[in-house]
Amino acid sequence: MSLLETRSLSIGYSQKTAPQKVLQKDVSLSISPGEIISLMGQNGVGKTTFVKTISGLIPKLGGEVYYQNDQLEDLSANDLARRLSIVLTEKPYSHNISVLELIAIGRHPYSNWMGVLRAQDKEAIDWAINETHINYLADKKLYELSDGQLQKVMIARALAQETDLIILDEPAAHLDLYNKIEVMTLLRNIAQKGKGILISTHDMQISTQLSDKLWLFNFNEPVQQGAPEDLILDGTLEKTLYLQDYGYDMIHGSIHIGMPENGTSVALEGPEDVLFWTNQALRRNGIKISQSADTIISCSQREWIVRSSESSQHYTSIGELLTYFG
Amino acid sequence: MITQFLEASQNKWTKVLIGLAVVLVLCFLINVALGSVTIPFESLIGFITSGSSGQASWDMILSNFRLPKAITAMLVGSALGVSGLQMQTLFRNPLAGPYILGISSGAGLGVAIAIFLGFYLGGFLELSGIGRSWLLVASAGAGSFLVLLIISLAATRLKDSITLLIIGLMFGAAAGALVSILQFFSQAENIQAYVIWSFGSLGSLSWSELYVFIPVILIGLLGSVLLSKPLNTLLLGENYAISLGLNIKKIRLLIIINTAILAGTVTAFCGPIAFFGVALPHLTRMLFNTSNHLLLTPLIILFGSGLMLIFDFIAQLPGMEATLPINAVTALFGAPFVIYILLRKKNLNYAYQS
Amino acid sequence: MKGSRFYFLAILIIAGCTPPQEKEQSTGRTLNTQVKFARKFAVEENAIIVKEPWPGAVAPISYAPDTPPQRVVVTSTTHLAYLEMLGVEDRIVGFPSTQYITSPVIRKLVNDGKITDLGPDGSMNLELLISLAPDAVFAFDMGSESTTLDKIEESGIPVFYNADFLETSSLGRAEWIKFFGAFFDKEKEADSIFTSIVQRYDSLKTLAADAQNQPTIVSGVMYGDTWFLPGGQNWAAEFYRDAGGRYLWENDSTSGWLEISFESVFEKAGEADFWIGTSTFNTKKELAGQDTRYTHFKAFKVDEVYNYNKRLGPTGGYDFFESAYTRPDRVLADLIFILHPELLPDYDTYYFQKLP
Repeated sequence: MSLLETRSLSIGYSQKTAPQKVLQKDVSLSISPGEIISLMGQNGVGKTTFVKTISGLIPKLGGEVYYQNDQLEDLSANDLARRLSIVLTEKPYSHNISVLELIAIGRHPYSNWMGVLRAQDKEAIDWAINETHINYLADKKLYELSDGQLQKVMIARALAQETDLIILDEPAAHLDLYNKIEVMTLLRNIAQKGKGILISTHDMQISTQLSDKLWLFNFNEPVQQGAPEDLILDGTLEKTLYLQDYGYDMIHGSIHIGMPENGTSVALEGPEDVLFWTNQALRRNGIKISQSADTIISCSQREWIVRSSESSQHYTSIGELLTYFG
Repeated sequence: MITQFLEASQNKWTKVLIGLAVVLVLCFLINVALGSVTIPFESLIGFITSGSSGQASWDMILSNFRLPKAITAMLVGSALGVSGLQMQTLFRNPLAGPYILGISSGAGLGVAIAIFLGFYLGGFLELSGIGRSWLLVASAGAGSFLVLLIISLAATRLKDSITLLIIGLMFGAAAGALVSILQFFSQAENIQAYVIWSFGSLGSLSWSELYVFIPVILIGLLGSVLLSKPLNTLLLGENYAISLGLNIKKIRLLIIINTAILAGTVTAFCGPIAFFGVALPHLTRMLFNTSNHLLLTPLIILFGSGLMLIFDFIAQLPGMEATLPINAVTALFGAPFVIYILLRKKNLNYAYQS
Repeated sequence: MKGSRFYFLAILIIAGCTPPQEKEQSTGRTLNTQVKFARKFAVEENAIIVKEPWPGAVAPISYAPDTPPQRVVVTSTTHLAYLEMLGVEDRIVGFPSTQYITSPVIRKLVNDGKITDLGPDGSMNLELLISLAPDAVFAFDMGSESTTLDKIEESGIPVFYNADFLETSSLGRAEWIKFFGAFFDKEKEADSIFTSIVQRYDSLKTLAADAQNQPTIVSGVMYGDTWFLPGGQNWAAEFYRDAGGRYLWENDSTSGWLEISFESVFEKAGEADFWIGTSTFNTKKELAGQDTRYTHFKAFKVDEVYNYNKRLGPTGGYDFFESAYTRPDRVLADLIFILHPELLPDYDTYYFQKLP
């Protein structure tokens, strides 16, 4: 049974003095336990509006939203809080609270009048801390944390809320690569424990490597969904993200940024990984790769040999290699 | 694992609170023991233990002047501190205080109307039999209540807290302007009476007034304690608070009503007391290094009570016949204290994300 | 004077400043007045000198005698009393807040429309005042710049400073009738009125000196947290002394008002025999309604609380703030009767009455 299901949902804005602005209509999507889904699309296409609508923060324009068997309208604020937790890019107002205090606030829907923590609350907090590996941060104040640490703490707070579904908005923005990998690993682990995770993101790694499914929003077109690989291979991803002009490298999953060519051509040979990076450096400098070129570069792990009709040059790094071309 | 942390933390804070309570008792004794008239310490002890200090005038001073004043000071200090804290959290604004919604301006307007329209010093009183002090309380209370009503109505209709803040400020300005107009057309005694009311006064409550003041303030303080959990949740920001199941409009209304009860009652009985409500939450946050309302509220209640007792003690200028108005002391001594703490801590940035 | 502390400030130097529309040429009057008790003014042959025109003034002001004014504006109820005693009250054309006037004679002038109300004394209606075309304004100032009086002078109307309220002695204040006498060319009348007042005062004082005891006196009321009462050199304190009483702050050296904590007052005066002067409180119930602690004072308990509210005008004025300056003999007689009733057996008080 799906954790969240939308049926012919229409989202947008309704203003008193202007006609309704519909951003997406007839959206029918669902998330099941254990799934990681990335929501992608250009800015302005309605991703944030969608997230706010299914969270109950803004009213829908049409259709239905179901949490398991319950319609969104029928759920009280407290009920909804037990089914859905969110992690936003905005930082908490006060940074003078400790990590533990912050995570404990995640127990709001469950704790009593005075916020006193009972056994089940403490268990949930412990579990959240262990999952996110932030034990060593527990008594630190928020202002003592780095961005990456803070992000993990905010995720821990959402975990402590013990919901089946978690929605994250750009969870890896502003994180260094190390922390980004940590967060991605964390999310995968959480999903494996049975939670459903919806991520609104622009990040290609998160969407293509981490996600089981992509939801692609576009302007004035129906929503596309599917496994990331399918959407890449049939060109849908490229089209939805308006990447056609730049090209999406199907094999390596990277984006081509076209560089002006200066007319020089070379042929390349060597092991695949060295070849790939040498190719990139040469292309960046306007040099085209052609197997029929007169100049041949042979690469190996630490050596580049440039053979032309006149000479043969040895280089020990790509940086030096580029000096051959002036 | 968290259990250890919690236990250690609870131990620590219990000790802090007990220590603070002991300090509070000390402040209370100092405040009651020293004043314009010198009463020997042994006589004071005699008064506490047996009800008599040995001299009738001292008994009268202690039981009808110093004791009510000390009790008033404690309640005023905690009420202003707690309501200031609530306003700062609700509006996410470190400059907010208990009067930011225009409550004390409304009280001032009520008092100004009573005084300048001649009720205070006129024959109306002789006919009605109401004591003048109760008339001031009633008119100030009516003014605060009216502002509260309007602000509450606005609160239920507005999504945005900042808009509410601005409405409160505008109210304050309008009420102040009306008071100025009334003053402009008034006679000396009336202006003097109003000005003296606006100095604030902790020592003019009789026991019959305390019988009303004490329970109302205690109820307000209890309400604040019960609001600690939603206030904590608001520390994450309104979006997160809503996602955690908090009914923002309802909580906002409850906070406003609670603040009005505390700040409005203080102003009605004691006049407007400046500065304290804005400064005390910051002082407490910085000195005790916490923003957790579950801790901060009792800390402010104890610390605020003690500090106000000290300020009142200073205002009494012990040993001298003259006294200072309490408003002068709270700002004069409070401001440098806050500046000192701020410089030691280098900045407030870590505490707030604008 | 209304008993509170309002002061208007303006400097007028008559010599050399008369604008063309003024009709005067000097009548060349010479003055012949001796001033014995008052310390804030003096009269020479050709000048009336106000030594301290406002509190803290550094220089005296000198006025030259001229044609006696026919249309005057005065700004304090005390001024009215002097003029009435000299018989020139019909020359008054304007006054601020006329509701405070108690004298029946002058009230009639108000009701007949002869005296125009100029608004609150803090902000008089200047247009109205100027339109009355007075030839003199008698004003007082508390010591701060008053642009109101400056403007009056700019329009060509002479402003004369009156410092009667700065006098600290009972006879000194009364002697200001000679100040007005000099301006209105009624020096002889002023002198004879004052001399008889002095005689009555002195004989009353001698009578009181015979009293067997000196009851203790407390005065004033609380405002907020502070008790306001007269200092030892205040005008009121001298009366208490001359009436055969012992004002408990008589050793204080200031002539203004003291602001003292309740505690100190109670400690010193809780057992005072008499409580005289309770500001705007006119019944014991009102006092208690303001502050129940008043009921602990002995004077309250034995019912010896007095205020100067026996004679009130129909619209709220206190005669005490109007004529008391000029009649210290009446004030003294009242106080002697309160403190030592046996010395004046058939007397009925004029200004003071016991609080019911």
